[in-house]
Amino acid sequence: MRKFLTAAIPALLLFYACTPNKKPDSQNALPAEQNQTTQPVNAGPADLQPVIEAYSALTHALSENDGESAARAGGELVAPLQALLTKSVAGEMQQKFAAIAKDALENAEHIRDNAGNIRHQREHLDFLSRDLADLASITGSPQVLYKIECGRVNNGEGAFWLSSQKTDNNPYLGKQITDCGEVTEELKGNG
Amino acid sequence: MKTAAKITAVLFLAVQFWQPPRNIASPEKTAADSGDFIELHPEIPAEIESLLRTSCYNCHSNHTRYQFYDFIQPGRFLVESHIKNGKKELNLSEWSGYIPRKQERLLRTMAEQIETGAMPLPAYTFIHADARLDSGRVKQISEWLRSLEF
Repeated sequence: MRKFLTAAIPALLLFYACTPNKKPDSQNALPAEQNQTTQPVNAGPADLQPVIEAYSALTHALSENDGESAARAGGELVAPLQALLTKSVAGEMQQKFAAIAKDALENAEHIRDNAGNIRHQREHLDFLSRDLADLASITGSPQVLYKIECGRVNNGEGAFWLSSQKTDNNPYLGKQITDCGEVTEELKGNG
Repeated sequence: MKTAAKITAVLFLAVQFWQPPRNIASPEKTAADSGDFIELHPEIPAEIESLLRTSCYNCHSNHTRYQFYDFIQPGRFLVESHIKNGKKELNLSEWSGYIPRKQERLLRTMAEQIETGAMPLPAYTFIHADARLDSGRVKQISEWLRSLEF
């Protein structure tokens, strides 16, 4: 016992002092900054397909008040968004495109990391939806998407989400609330 | 047992010398301060400015005001961990580096986090009593944050 303590206490101190604190996140793994010699490929509607799929899983999970599944869907958004960041668009839209894709990635990571906090996930959904709508307008969308808006969210400020259907369960309030969601825009598909 | 105590004491003294770099103003950092939040909002009420500096800036900026006890190891590792994680989520020294959409999201999150008491970190206010926000101060700050237009 004595020998164990003699070893254990200093070992614990050392362990505490030396343990690094690394989390995988967008700051450690931005592919775009590594590919400086290769020509970036143009981003197109097809690149948004996996993003839209994961996003649909996310809105579905949130409408079911399922934070765990929402976190999983958030995690599934990370890889396609990172892939999107390795691509570019023509001319002056490039800076905006890169900034919005990066913002979307951050929102996805936060959703992934907050399985126990649906309120926080829904906050990020608001901004992720804006990001995705902007990306779709820049690269084109692979399918028709509807912007569905609910004015009750955020103390009356409102928020929207994107859906492949005109009527959809509300990810901000849960599927019990069926009377808040109005199609305000249709994003045409051109993929 | 005595040997263990001696070894622990020696290690405790030894680790005091292991001090990571401080999160303070330096020429490189000042150049990176692409727009401090308070400077970018000259209309900020003086009281709110003071509350932000005391309750937020130590972890959420490039300029931490260290007290002597912050340097005591292994506590110093915890302090730096708080600062590193804090700056990763929100760095008020680099506010203008954020796109407007992210600024809007951060303002909303700031208001909510102080309203729910998640921020300032209880571990922080336990030691820094002057950083504690009572309900009046919380209301004052969050109302102002929410009033900023986008």
